[in-house]
Amino acid sequence: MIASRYARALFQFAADRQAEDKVFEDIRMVEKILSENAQLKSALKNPLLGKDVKKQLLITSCGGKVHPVFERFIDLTLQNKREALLHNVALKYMDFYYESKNLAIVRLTTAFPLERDLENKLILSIKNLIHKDLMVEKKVEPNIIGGFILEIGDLRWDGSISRQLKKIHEKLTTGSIVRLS
Amino acid sequence: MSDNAIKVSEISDLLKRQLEQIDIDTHYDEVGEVLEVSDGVARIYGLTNVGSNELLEFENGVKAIAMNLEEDNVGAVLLGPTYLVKEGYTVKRTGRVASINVSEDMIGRVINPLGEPIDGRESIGGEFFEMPLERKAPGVIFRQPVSEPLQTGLKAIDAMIPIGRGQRELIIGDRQTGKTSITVDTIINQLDNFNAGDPVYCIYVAIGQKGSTIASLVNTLKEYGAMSYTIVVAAAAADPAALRYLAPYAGAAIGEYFRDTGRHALVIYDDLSKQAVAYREVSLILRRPPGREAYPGDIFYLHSRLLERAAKIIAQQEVAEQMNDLPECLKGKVKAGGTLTALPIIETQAGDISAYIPTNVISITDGQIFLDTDLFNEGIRPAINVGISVSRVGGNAQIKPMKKVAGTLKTDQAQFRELEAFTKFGSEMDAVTAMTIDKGQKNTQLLIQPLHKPLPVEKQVAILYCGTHGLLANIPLNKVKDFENNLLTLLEYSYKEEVLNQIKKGNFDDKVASLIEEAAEKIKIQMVG
Repeated sequence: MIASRYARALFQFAADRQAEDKVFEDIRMVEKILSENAQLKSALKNPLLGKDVKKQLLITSCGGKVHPVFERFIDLTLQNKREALLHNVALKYMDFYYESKNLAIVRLTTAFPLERDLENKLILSIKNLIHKDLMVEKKVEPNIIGGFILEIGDLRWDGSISRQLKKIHEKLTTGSIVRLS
Repeated sequence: MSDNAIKVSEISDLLKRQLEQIDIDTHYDEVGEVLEVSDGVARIYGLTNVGSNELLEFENGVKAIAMNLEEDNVGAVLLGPTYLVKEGYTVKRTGRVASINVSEDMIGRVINPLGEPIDGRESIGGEFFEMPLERKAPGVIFRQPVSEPLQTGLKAIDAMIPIGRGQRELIIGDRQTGKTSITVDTIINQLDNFNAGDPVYCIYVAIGQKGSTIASLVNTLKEYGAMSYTIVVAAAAADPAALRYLAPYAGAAIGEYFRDTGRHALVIYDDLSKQAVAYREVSLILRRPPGREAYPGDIFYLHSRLLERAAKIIAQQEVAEQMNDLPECLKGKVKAGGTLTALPIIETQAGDISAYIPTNVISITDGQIFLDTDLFNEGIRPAINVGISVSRVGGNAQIKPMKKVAGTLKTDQAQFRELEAFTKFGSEMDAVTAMTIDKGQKNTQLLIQPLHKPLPVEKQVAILYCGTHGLLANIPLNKVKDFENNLLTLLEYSYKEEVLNQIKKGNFDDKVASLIEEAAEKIKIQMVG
């Protein structure tokens, strides 16, 4: 609740100054670091660290330089002692951003790199389906053996071989199987 | 290889058949990501379409229930250990509300609130009925007033605080006053019904109890043959708070299965104060605002919606079939006239029944049985305080002979308690007072009953007749127990058809009464001379 209020305020503030794209870059960086680095998350929650230290931490983790709009926002969150919510705010900001640009994030996981033709075909068909511009994040994950996993926002289409094998495993190991006797 | 060795082709065929049944079609999953995990609660980002109370599944198979739906996150309580879920895990919607798969094979088993067996025996088979844990209680038109008795086998309860099938009767008292024993005796007393082919299925829900306590309870039930019609749902003290909070709902869901298929069920919640504490724990971790005694605002609704599910379903089949909120699996299987009786237990601190949770549950239920530490220590067991125990609807469900014999017993006993308190100060008393006190003391003796020895109702009526009609006047106080035992033996051997069976059928005329008096006279002569 609180996080989405902050995110909405930041987005509107940035949009008024035509800086939403720049802020988005910073926000994306913060989100990535916060989800990968648990230590930073706990440092932000630590009441012993002062505002200046936390601000420096955040800016350094974003590569040493952030957009002035985002810097102001960091000041505001620190002043209101809401830095623990920063991760939520970042996620929410990204949602607002994608929505305003009519963008959809698509995560495509495959067992091996796809051929360009096939990939373009796939992307085009998704585009026609959801009528949005796509931001494709590709990932190669040999563990899924074959097939692909497609994630669009909250939705996931899991067409991997590993999932099918897992399904079969579940079916064979849980109660409802036919008894041999 | 021996003859009964499994042929390879058979296995392959079987496997092939199973493989054909497996649904490996892909479809959309709705997923979210774990942002934060702490003390049994996960905060999840995503899952925009998740419903309240929906079952979620983490990528490693741990389950959770979505409880807080906020704008930027979903708060879910974990149904497994917290350490198994880590930040960054994906969570999947299941599209189902939390439910339990009920099957007839559950009878005689010990299960957890998710329906998984925890007694170390084989997995539960049979036809499964998916009963939702949270379900709206039947509406007014699908109900009927309580009219059949639920015999507890305890003289004090069946005579003075009778319980009817479909009633909710609270058992309240301090620790160590015999609350659980009353319910165990009630379960044991349903053995006759089971043997007669008209079972009252019992569901004992243990919430936050020690594992050893649950084990010894199950042993006791087994010893008396009561596990043949009993299901024990256990969420022990070591289980996550979410499971302890859900356990009574699981018990109610199982009870509803029996109720809606036209049978009789009895569910015991032991105890709801611990469930309230578990719910408080969950609510506080979900950061819901605390109210009185730090319980959340909906703590009353927590218990009222649970206890409303106890009901006697209307006897008209065509009306019962239209029952509200019927789960899909029960459609077409509903039978009219089933009942679900609830015996919730509340533990008080130092006899304080005006604390928050006790007053709530007292106001929800159709009466309460109050157990007193002082009475317990005096040796009056079950330690029922007759003065403040009531049953608001059970009177209609008492069998006629019992009503006739014990009609005035409750008021008499209350009067005697009051007089007794007075006479403790002075020594002089008139003959009438002395008689009332003598009778009261003997009736108190008659109402004492040993543990796990429930008495069939016809014997209760016969023995209480002696008490209320002054047939014990010449028996010394310390011989009352012997008198009772001798009389019951004599009735069993010489008057079974004329007295006991008549009472059982509901006939209690002057002839039966005079036969009891005749038998009592014989015993008196034999004992006093």
